[in-house]
Amino acid sequence: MRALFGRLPRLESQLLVVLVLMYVVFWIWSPDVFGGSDTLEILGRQAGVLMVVAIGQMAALVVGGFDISVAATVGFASTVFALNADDYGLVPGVLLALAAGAGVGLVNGIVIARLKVNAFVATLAMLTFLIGLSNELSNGASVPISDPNLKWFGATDWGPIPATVGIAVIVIAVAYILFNRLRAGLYIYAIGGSRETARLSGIPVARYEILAYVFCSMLAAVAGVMLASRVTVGQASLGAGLELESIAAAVIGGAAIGGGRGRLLGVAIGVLILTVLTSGLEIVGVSEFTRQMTTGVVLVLAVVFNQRRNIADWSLVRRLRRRGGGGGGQAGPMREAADGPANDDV
Amino acid sequence: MADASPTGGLRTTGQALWKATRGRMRRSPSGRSATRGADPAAIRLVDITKEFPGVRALDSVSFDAKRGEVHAVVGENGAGKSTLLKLLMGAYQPDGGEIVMGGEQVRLRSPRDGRKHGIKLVPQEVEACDQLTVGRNVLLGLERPFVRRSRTSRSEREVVEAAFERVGARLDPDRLAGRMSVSELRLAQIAHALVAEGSVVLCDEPTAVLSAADADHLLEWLARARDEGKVAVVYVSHRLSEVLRIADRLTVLRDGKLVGTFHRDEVDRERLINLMTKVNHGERRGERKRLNRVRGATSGTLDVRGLSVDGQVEDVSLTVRPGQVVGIAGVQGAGFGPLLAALAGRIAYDRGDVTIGGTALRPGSPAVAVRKGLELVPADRRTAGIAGLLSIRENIALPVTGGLSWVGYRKRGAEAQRAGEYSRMFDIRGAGIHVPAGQLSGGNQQKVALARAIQGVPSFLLLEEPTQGIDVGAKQEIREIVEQLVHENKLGALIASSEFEDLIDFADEIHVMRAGRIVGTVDGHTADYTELLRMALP
Repeated sequence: MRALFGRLPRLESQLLVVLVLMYVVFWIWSPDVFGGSDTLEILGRQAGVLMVVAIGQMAALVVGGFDISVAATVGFASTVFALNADDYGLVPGVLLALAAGAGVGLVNGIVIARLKVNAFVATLAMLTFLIGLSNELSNGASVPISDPNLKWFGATDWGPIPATVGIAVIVIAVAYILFNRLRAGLYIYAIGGSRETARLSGIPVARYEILAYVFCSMLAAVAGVMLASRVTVGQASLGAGLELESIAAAVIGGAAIGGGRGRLLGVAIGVLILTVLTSGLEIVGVSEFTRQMTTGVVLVLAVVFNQRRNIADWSLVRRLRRRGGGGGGQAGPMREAADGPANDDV
Repeated sequence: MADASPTGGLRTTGQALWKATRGRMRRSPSGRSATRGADPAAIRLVDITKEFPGVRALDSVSFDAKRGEVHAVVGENGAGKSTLLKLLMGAYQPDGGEIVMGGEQVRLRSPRDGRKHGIKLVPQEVEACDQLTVGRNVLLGLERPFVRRSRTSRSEREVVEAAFERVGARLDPDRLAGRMSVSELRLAQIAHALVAEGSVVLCDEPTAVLSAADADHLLEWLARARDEGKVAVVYVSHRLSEVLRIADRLTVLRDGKLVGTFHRDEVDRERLINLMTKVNHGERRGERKRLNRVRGATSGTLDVRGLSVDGQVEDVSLTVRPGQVVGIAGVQGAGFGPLLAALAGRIAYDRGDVTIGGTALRPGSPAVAVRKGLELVPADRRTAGIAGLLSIRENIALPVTGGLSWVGYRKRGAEAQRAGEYSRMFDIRGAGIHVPAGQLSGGNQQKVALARAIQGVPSFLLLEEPTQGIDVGAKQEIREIVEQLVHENKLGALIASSEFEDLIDFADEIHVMRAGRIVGTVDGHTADYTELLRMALP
């Protein structure tokens, strides 16, 4: 136990406990279903798509904004994929879908970082624009894909694991490198943490902010391909609901609205918690409407919890500082405290 | 990006050639050459003019900074000091004149551009990316493409520790910035400015947030860096004693114009103040009207007994009578901030009794405190003293007890009249009462904050660091305003400050606070600066 949790930051340990407890509760509630590996597989399939979108969303959150156009981007990318897959082949179709996602992110990023439009307004506008564009391209219908190899992008298994899980693992690896090993990731955190400090350090702030939105939208496009593979059509409304779910999962996992804060492992566990909660409730027979209500409540609770955690830390920091000689105590309340130890590359 | 100035030795001829190559120069900052121009200055401003709508912020000002010297810039607020700094760092572009580095005219199009040219700013605000480690903050902008976010590699560590050594800081590079004290972060910021090779370091009020001991340490470091001879230090500060101690040369600005550049030996404190201030304060005093609206402390004495706030304030007792100025002297972190915040209902206190005229007051919120007649003018002037986006008029109309609305309906005419009245009385200099208060200079913002505070017809004014970061002239004016309120309108004033000279001979009684406690009380009119400092320092 200690060996496992010793290496984890506090928040992630707590989230993991919540996840396990939640699963145990469902297991007790419905032992036949939750005891089997089939359920784990179903949950994995469900979680994969949300994982990909939420990790993208995390980039937008960390840089200090958010992206509510992700669901529309999922639909748009799936439409672009479906329109081209049969004519040019699956791989070119995927590449076009990713390029479409990158384009969406580029526009979002430029509008937000260069034209200084509020992220909410910019991505809300993008949301409605993309729904219109997707329907325009597909004449308002869903676009079928007939290539049998389509299933490899999310409908079938890669050996022992579901394809969605495989893709999610790849995305986690890529995101890990971005967030924890690349200068670009560091700058995304720096900009979200203190824009002015980043600017004075000579960082081209707008460029990295745009990058965060491009990353976000490209991952939404990946999710679009995954969903299209599962339902064998491309459609504007394919990702419906993912904007809220991705923000909720990221926030549950410790990403802060306002920027600078959030770790990949936390967000990944946040996705699993949200998936187990919603899918678990579905499996035990709770209605969809009740599940929607639950998601809303959980989102607010997660934010409240995160804020409480900060206040606790804040007084802790004050106490530590006092012990260290009291220097700077007066300005203490002005400064926001940080959470977690420093050396957690997770 | 480390080597900075594109000192193309071959291109030192004439401006015509410069202009022809300007475009290319910008794209290739590799024009490095061993020969610097004959110019001894690391950076030189020649006849710089900068205009903002309706104001000429700098009018044909020339300035230069040499390696191995500290060049101080002094002047009242609004004199053009911050504009000068922003031009030097590339945040503003001049409307006329030129910037020359190493004999070459340069264009600094952004702070990023400035940094590429080796110009580093230590900003006034102590700000860092709290979620990143100190080491990461210090190295910010210099990383190679592959870095670990939460750890520094051995070579990076060496660079950071070398920078810490230069500023005499003993910090662990892997600690989170969010866990550092303000003075530690200030040192880290200076290390950040020094970590890459550069030629010009701009310091904007670097000691404003530091305790006396830390400020002292900082000045020592600056003297050392100067003696190394590698960098030119441009030093902007309101603390004249510091400036006179550290500067080799001083440039005085007044109303955007250059008064002159002097060697240290040519000036003393008195002369500097005379050069900086244009108005004879004695004359203006006669123009002031009495403040008729202010109620004054009719409700009796403010009595604080045994107040404690979660380890920041310990068992503080004091009394403020109507018509009395009570001072609290202390260094940063002494606890006067939380004390005033607790009295004003901004934060809760754990123990103690506060009474006004014998009636107990347990302020649970600022609204309660204001209703009982306690009005706070906080130290975080920009964020809490005024509403920066609102105009002067709207700021003055803010207090709910100000009588400028009828059943929630704003009396706009009365607002404008009141705002105009106070702008004149307090001499709030700006482009009129409709200007957003955030655009005013520090001294004028403080006057707006004071004007706002007394609209609520308080009995007691709680002033936290009222003179911090504002110039000599404005300090004097703030003092006159408070004196007037206290003596004419019989308000009680409780003034907490880390600038002791502003309390001496102003407060009737000075309590010295250290580590949350009152450690001594002296008569304000006979208090001695060094005595206060000795008591206040831990």
